[in-house]
Amino acid sequence: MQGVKNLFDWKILSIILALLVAGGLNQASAAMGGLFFKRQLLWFALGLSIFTVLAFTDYRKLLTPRVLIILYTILLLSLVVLFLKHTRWLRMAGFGIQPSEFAKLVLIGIFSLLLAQRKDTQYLDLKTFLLMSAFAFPVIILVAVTDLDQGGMLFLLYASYIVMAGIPRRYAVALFLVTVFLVFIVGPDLWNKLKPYQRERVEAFLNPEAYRLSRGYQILQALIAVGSGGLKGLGFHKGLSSRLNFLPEKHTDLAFAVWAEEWGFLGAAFVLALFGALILIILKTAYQTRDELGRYLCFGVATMLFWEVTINAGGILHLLPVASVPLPFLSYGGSSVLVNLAGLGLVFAVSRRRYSFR
Amino acid sequence: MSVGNHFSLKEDEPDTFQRRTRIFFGLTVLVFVIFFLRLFFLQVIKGPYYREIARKRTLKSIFLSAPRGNIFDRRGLLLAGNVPSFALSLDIKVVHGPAGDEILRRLAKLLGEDFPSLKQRYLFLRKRATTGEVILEQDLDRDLVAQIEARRFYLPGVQIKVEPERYYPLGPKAFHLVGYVSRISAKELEKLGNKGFDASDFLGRTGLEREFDAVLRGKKGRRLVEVDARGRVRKVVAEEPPIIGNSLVLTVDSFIQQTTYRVLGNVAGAMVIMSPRDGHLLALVSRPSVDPVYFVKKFPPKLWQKINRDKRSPLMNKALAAYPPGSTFKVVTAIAALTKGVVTPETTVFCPGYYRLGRRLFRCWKWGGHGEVNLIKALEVSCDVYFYYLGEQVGIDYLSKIAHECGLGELTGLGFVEESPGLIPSRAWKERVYRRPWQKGETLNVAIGQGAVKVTPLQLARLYAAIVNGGKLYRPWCVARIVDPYGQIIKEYGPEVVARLPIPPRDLSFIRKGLVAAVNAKDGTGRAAALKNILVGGKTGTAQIVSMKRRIHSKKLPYLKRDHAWFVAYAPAEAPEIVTVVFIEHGGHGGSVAAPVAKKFLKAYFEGGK
Repeated sequence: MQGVKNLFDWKILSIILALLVAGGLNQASAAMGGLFFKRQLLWFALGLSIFTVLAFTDYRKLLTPRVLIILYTILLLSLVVLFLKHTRWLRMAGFGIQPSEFAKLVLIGIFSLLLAQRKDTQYLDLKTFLLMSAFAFPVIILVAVTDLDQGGMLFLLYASYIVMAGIPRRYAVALFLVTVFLVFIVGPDLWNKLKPYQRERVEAFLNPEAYRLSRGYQILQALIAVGSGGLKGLGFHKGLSSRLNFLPEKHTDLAFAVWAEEWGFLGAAFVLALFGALILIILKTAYQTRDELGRYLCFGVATMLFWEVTINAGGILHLLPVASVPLPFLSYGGSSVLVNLAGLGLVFAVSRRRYSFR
Repeated sequence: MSVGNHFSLKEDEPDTFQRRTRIFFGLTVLVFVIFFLRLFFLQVIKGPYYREIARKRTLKSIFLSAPRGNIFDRRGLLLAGNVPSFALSLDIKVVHGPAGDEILRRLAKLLGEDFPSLKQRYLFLRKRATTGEVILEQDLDRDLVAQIEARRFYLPGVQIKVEPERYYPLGPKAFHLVGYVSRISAKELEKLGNKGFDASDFLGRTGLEREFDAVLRGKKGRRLVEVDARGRVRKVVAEEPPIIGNSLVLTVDSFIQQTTYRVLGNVAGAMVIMSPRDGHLLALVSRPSVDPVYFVKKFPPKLWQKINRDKRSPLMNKALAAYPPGSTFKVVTAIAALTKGVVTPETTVFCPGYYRLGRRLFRCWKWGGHGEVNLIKALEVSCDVYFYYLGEQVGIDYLSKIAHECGLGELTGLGFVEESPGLIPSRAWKERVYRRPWQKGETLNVAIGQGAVKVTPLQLARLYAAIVNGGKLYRPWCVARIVDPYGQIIKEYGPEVVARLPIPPRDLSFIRKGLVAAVNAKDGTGRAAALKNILVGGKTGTAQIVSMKRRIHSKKLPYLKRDHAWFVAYAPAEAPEIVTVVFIEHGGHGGSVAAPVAKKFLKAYFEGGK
């Protein structure tokens, strides 16, 4: 509607800024103010400019089928290159780019567009489902070959969209039965066919003490780091686990453990609260948005953040098996920062016009 | 429920998307609540537990070994000390990867080892490394040390570490007296681990090294360090420097010790040289002996096998082990008889060559007998019959009581764990061990030092010292004082009179006359020990191992059945300076085997190198 002025969502912006400050501080400590810290700041700056551009652009003009097809093609090509090279990163001028991160954003765009264009808003029709799957699976499989965790991440994103789109009850029941069948009948057989290191990950989760020198090491050290933080934490730059290198992957996968050790329960709960609030605000934006594309975009970004935070923090807090998924902004990673900020830029754009369209 | 036709800002009925969003909203809230609870549990409730784990994981206490104290002889000459030992240490952080291979290749050339085996050894040790370094080689020789030091520039991460190692200048000559140290065993470490011992420690095993282990050991220092995940030291939190062990100054004279070792010769046996004036030891030798350096380093397996198989038991300190004393014991019988008053020094006994007890005949060692003998003559010729008579008269109870008062059958108080108390048989002892009553004939055997009697060379030395000095039974001692590393005296030892012989000095002088006669008189059994210019007193002893109807010359017997040869000597007889006990295991006749050894020693002692 024309009469409604553009909204400026201060809440989202301030939460993002707070998270960026926390992420900067955390890298300053985890990377001892070294190269990774400086680079992370660089990524923040780059990400914020992308955020700004996207936030003040009309996302509906941006996310056209043509643009998405082009992006998708580039993504697929780079994934094939990675697959052939057997690596996760595209090296560019000294920086590594992780196409699997960008895959999230591309898929969110495609899913949102597909779901926004469908006729039946109650349930997912076969055509849309097949289209979504056709776009999703090549990417998921190609990513999973070099990076199983990111592949799983993309699958979760895909599954969330499917659920959101609505599965007719009989399919849901059928899917449930198939799952039960797989877990209880084929499961044990499949379990035995898994590679030892894949099984070890689950076994280490169940009993980290027994795997204290291999997979369990990461879990135990993360628990020790988080636990020794206590209520108030050991203080900035004073975390024993990170300073003495007991934490592996301390500036990437286990960055949250560094944060929890140095800032304690207060700091860790604060960061988690920021993420929670951010996800809930985005979901609320999705709720309020009348535009189909916008609301699915918001939903997608919220889901992406939700899974990233859940898998990362869940692994560190020993609620889930450890997976190599970065925590947005707190973990070092240029691609992750750029993708998350771009996603939030889209959300911001949707939020500004949430009452305006249609 | 179509969505498309609503433009209004008013809240309508929520559409499908909105309803599902609400579910996602709820799920998100639920997941985050779980996170908060988990975080609270881990950090606030279990916080102290994890903080303790983190502290233990990062703080490590390293022991700093304290150099062991020295052992000096009375002249200040070293008997046990430390020499630097060079170990080859590699920094695992530097010797790593292709560059590390290059270093190892250079080292292999210097060590004369081939590269693959050296690398294999290094990788094996590296896996076990806890301190960030690998000790690749110990006890390097000086040439190699010089070669490595000279190439230091090309060998980054390679270090020569200097550690004190025990060193015994006299080697086998003072082995049994000084003792030895060897590395702590895994079993001992289990027991002593919580008392501050670690795998690099040495323990005193025998002799002075063992008796004064706590004094010599010193106190280990401790360094509390913060280590990182790879076990590398990042920061020294606290340090307590080690305290060097205290040293011992002995009464032993290393020249006399060496002379004694030399004169005893290559036999199985022992010699004790003691001052009768206050009971201090001048030398204590047991042969055959072993070089203690092998215990510190490593025994060549063949040598170790040889030592273990040697029936002459090189590791045993024979000066402190108990053997039948033979005729040297006769002075005890004499003391018993004189104190009980069954004879006076003048009383004579007729020796026809045998002694009749009931229906049994006890032979004198001399076929045909000695005729009329009194105390002095009996000691001179070592007449068995005289002492059979004395033994029968005093009885076993009294004889064993006096023997104990003479310091036999009891530890001397030297303090070595190797020391045996010996054995003085008695009625009670026989009842306990054999469950049979005492036979009168056994008393006669005891009276001449045969049968079950067992004494140590050290006990004999002390007893004869007491006879010579007027009856004072001293505690044998060989440590004069304990000094700290700066030479300050910490503890001083002096003579200790443990007991007095239960015999009046006048009667003792008769025994001494008998001992002088035994060496110097025409028929003396110990004439082989007589010196030209110095009056020597002494007593021979020949202890039978197996009883025989007739005496057979020892040399015709198999080694293990041969007699033990004893000789106790003191000199100069007028004002005795030293007492020396010579014991030669399975040596044969005391007068012909042991006495010449004593003579050689006394000659060397009084006349020097002539």
